[in-house]
Amino acid sequence: MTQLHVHAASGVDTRDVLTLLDHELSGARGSAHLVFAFYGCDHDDAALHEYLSRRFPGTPVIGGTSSGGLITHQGVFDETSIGVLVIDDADGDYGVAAGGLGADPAQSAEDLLQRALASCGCGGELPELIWVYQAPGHEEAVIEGLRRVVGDRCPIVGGSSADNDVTGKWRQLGPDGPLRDGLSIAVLFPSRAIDCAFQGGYEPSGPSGIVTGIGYEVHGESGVVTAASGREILSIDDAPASSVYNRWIGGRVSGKLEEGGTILAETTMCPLAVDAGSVDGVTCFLLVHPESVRAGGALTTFRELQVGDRIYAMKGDRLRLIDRAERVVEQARRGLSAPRSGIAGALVVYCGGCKLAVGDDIGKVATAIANGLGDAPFIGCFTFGEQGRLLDRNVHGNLMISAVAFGC
Amino acid sequence: MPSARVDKPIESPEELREALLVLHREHEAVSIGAAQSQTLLDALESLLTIDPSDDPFAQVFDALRKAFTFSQALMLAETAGDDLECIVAEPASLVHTRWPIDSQFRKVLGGRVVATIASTISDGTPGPAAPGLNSQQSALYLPVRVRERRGILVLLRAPGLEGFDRNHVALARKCSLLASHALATRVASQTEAESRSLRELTTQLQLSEQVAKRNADLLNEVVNVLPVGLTVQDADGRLLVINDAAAALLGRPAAALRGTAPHDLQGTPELVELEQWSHRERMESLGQRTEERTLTVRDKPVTLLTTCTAVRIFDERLLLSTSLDISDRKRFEDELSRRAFHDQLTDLPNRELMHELVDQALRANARGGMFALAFIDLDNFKQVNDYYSHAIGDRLLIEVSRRICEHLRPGDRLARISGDEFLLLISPLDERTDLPPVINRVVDALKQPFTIEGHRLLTSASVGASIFPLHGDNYETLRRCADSAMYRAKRDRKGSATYFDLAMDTAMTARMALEQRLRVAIRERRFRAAYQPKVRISTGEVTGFEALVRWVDEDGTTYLPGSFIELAGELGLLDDITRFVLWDVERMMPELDARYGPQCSVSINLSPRQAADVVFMQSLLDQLSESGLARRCVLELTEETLGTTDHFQRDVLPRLRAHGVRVSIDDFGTGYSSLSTLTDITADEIKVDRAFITAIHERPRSQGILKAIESLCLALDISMVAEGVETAEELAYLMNHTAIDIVQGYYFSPPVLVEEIPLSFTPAAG
Repeated sequence: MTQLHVHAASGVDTRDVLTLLDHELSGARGSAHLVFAFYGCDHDDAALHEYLSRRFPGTPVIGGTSSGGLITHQGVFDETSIGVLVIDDADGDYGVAAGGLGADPAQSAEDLLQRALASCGCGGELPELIWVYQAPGHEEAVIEGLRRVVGDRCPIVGGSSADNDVTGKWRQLGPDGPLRDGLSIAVLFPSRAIDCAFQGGYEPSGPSGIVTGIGYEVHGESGVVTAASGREILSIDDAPASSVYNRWIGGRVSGKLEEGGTILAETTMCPLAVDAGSVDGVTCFLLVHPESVRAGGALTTFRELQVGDRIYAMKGDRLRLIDRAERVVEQARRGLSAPRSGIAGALVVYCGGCKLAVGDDIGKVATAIANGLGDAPFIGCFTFGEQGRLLDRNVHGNLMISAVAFGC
Repeated sequence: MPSARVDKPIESPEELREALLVLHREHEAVSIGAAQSQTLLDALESLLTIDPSDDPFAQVFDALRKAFTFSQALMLAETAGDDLECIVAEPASLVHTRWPIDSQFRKVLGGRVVATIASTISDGTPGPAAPGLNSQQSALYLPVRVRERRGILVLLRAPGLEGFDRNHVALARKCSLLASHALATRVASQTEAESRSLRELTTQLQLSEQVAKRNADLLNEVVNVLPVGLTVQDADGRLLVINDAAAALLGRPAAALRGTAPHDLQGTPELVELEQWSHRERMESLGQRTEERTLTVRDKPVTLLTTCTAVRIFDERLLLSTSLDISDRKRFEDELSRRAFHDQLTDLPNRELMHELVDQALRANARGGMFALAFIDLDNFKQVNDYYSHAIGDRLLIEVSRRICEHLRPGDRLARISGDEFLLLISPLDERTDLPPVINRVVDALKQPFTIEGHRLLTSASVGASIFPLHGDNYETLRRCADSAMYRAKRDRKGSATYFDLAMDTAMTARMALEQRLRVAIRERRFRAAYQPKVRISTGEVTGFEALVRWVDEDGTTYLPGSFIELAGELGLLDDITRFVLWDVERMMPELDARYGPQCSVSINLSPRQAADVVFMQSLLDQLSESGLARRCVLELTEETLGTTDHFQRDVLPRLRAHGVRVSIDDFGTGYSSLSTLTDITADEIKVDRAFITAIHERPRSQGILKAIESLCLALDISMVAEGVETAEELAYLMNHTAIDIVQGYYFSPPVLVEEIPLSFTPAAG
C-alpha cells in the first residue's frame, strides 16, 4: 500500500522550521521511500539536507526552492516555509540522482537518469514516471537527454526551481545536498497506480506570427553559430519581437521597450504559445512565458522557440488559473483507473508566474486542488517552468500546472 | 468512466479544449481498455477451449501479439536450481535455454512487470546458450505464477524498434494473469499427460514386475535345483544368493546363511581373517579362478571344487561362485594315487614313489647334506614261496616290511620295489657313521624268526647301501650302487650288509661299459651261432647240432656267452639274442641240410625266464613254424626251468608239443630235483652234465649215477646225450659200458661257425 504524508512548517530560521517539521514528522507512522522537499530560497538547505538525511537515512530526497512559498492540503505556506512529501511504499522502488547541468545538460540528464535507476536497483528498467527538479534555463535539453533513454514511453514530470524575485537564488536538492544550476532526477516504480496531468489555462487572443529570428550563441570551441532555436526571439514576422509582442498585448510592456527589463508580472495573463498539436481539430497550446525585453527589441522567454515556429498571443484570467488547478489534479486522479485504486495523494507543480497572477487568491488554488483530490494530501510548489506530458509527448512549458496523482 | 464537466455548460474555447482533451483521453483509455479486454477475453476463451495436446502458450503468444509488438516470446519457468529454463519459445530454438536469476528477474518473479528502457535485456541473458537473442532488444517481463510455480513471460522487440511503454506495462499486468492461466493449463495438461503416462508406466511396471517376479521365481527355482552349489557375494563377502546345494555343502539352511559374511563365521579370529583375505583375493582376481577347498561339515571332511568369477553387475562388484562336492572323486583320486604309488601288499611306497622321495631328498640336500639309499633283498625268499606257498610268502613280505619299519628313524622311508626287494631311504644322514647302526638294526631284525600261520620262518636279508653325494647325485645311480653293494653282500655273505665302495664302483663301471657295448652289439646284430655237433657214436653220423651264441665284435673278437649272457639276462636282452641265434640257424639250415641231411636237429638254449614267458615262447614258436624248423628244433632247458615254473608246464609245454618242438633237459644231474623233474615233465631228451662224463672211465661214482640215469631214461623212453666228451677214454667207456649212443664234445668238435663246420666229424684224436 502506498501512503503519502505531507508536512510543512514556516519560520525565518531554518533550524526552527526543521524543529517544527520534526515535531510533525514524529507523529507520522510508516517509513519513507522517497522524500520531496520544497522550501523558500532563503533557507539553509544544507541544514535541511542534513536533517532529512538524519531523519530519513538512506531514503532518496529530491526537491528545491519554490517561489514565494508552497501549498498543501492544509493551505498556503509563505516563502519562509519548508514542506515535505513523504512516500511510504515498501513494495515500490524509488531512486534519485542529482548533479550539475554542466556544459551538456542533455548528457547530464541522461547520465543522472541512469544513476537514479541504478541507485534503486532498477538499472535498465522503464520507470512508471520520471520526476525532475532543475535550474531553469535548460529544460528542453534536459528533456531531450531523458528522452534519449525513455523516449515518450513514460512521463517526465517536474518543475524548474524558482526564487522569490527572479534573482537567481533558486537551488535544487538531491541525495548529496543542495545544488545550484543542477538537476535532480527521481525515478518512480510505485507498487500502486500513478498518473499525471499537464495543462495550461489560456486561450488565443487572436494575433499570431512566425518567429523569424532567434538570438544565437557561439556553440563550443568550434565557433559554430546556432541560431535555429533559443530563448531570445529577435524577430517575429521579421519585425522586432518585443515590439510585435507589445502590440499583440495592447502595449502592456511599452514602458520597457526602450531600456528593456523583466516583464514576468506584466505578461502572466498574456503569454505566448506554440501549437502543440490538436485534438479533434481543436488546437492545443504550449505556453511560453516572456521573461524580459531587451534593449535591441529582442524578447526572452522561459522556453525555447525555433525559427519558423508560429507563436500565438494568449490570454488568461485569475479565476481560470484558480479553477485550472482543480481540473489538472482531477485529470491526474482519473488516470488512476484501476478499480481498486484510491488516491494516496498528489504532487503539484504550479507555475510561479501564475502564482504571482493569482496573488492573494492562492489559497483558493490550494482549496481547489484539495477539492480535486478529495482531501488527499498534496504538496504544491511554485516554479519557473513546468514539465509534463502533453498529447503523449514530454514537454517543457510555462504557466502550466503539472500534477502527479499517487494511487493507494 | 464519467467524464468531467459534462454537466456544466462550456463557456470558453479553453473549456472546450479541455473537455475535448479529457474526452479524447478518456475515449482513448476506454478504447485501449476495451481492446485489451477483448484481447484478454479472446485469449482466455482460446485457452479454455484449447486441445489438451496443444501448448496453451501458442495461443497466448498469438493473443499478445495483437496488443504487444514483439519478435520473440519466451516462457521461462523456475527450475529446481537457481535459474530459469525456457519451456516455450518463439522461435523454438530458445527452448531449454537456461537463464540465471538476477535482481531484475527476482523482481519480476516477485510480481512486478518490468519493461527495459536501455535497449538491453536482463543481465540474465544466457549468452551463447540463447541463440538468436540480441542485447539491443527491448524486453517486457511479465510475472507468471501458478501456486508454487513461478515463471517469467518475456516479450522481446526486434532491435531498432522503440521499447515498450507504460501502457504496455499496464496491459502486461493484466496479461500476467493470462500467462499464469496458460501456465496452469499447461501444467494441468502436462500433469494429466504425466498422470496418464504414469498410469501406463505403472501398468507396464506391474506387468514387468509380474514377469520379472516369475522370471525371478523361475531363476530362483533353477538356481535351487542346480546340482552344484551357487553363491553370490558382495564386496564384503556377504552372501546375497545361496542355493540349496551350496547351503547343503555348508551344512546349514540357506535362509540362515543368506546375508552372512566371513566375519559371521564361527571360528578363530585367524580363520575369519584368512577367509576375509581369501575373499578379497578372489574379488581382485582377473578372470575365472578354480580352487579346491576342504571344509569340515558335520565333523566330516568335504572337498569342494570351487570356481569363482569376480564380476561387476549394476555397478556392484560381486563374486559368483559355483561349488561342486568332489569328496568322492577326491577319495577315489587319492586311492588311485595311493595305488599308483604304493605297494598293495605291504602298503609301502612303491618304486615310483621312492623315486620321487629320493628326488625330494636330492632337492632338499642339494646345497649340502647327506642321505643314504639301502637296497634290501630277502635271502632265499624263492624257497619260502616254493616250500610253503605264495600266500605265506606274501605274509612274510608284510611282516618283513613291518619289522623293518619298526627299526627306522622318523623320516626314513621304506619302499617295496619288487618281489622281495626293498629300498630304504635313510635321510637325513649327518655322518657316514650314522648309517651302519641303522642298517645293522634292520639286518639283525630280519634275522629274527617270523611266525606265520603257525610256521616258524627263518630268513635274512642282504643289504647294500649307497650315500648321496658320495656315490651319485641321482636316483638311478644311487639305486644301482646300492644294488651292486647288495649283490656283493649276497655273494659274499648272505644276511649281511655291504656299503658301496671304490672297488664296486670300478666293477660297476666295467659292467656299465659292458652293458653299453652289449646294447650296441644288439643294435648292430653282432651275434651269431656256433654249432657243436651231436654225433651218433655207433655210426659216426651227425644227428644234430647245438647252436651256441657267439658275440662277434667289430674287430673280429669273438666272446663266449659266459662273458655277457648273465648281464644280458639282467638287462632283459636275452630274447633279442635268442632271436639272433634262431635267425642264424634259419639262415644256415640249408647249408647244414646240404651237408648232413634234413634229419639233423638243432638245439637252442633258453633261460628259465624265457621258458616261462608265454608271450616270448609263442613268438618263438611262430618263428619256428614259419621257418619250418619246429619239428627239427630241440629247446634245451635247465632243470630249474622245468621244475619251478608253473607257467611253462601249464601254458608253454602243451604248445611246444602241439608244434612238434622237442624238449631237452640240459645239464641234467646238477639240479636239486632232477629225478622229480622227470616225473613231472615229459622230456624228449636229457643231456647228462659234463660233470658226470669228465673222466668217467676213472670215476666209479659217476659211472653208477650214469647207469641210474641211463636206466631211468630207458624206462621213460627218453634219449640221452652225453655232454663234454673230450677224450677217447671217455668215449670208449661210453661205447663199451653204456647204452648212450649220442655224444657231444670237444672230442669231435668245439662249437664252430657254420663256415668252419667240416663235412664229416672224426674223432679229434685216437
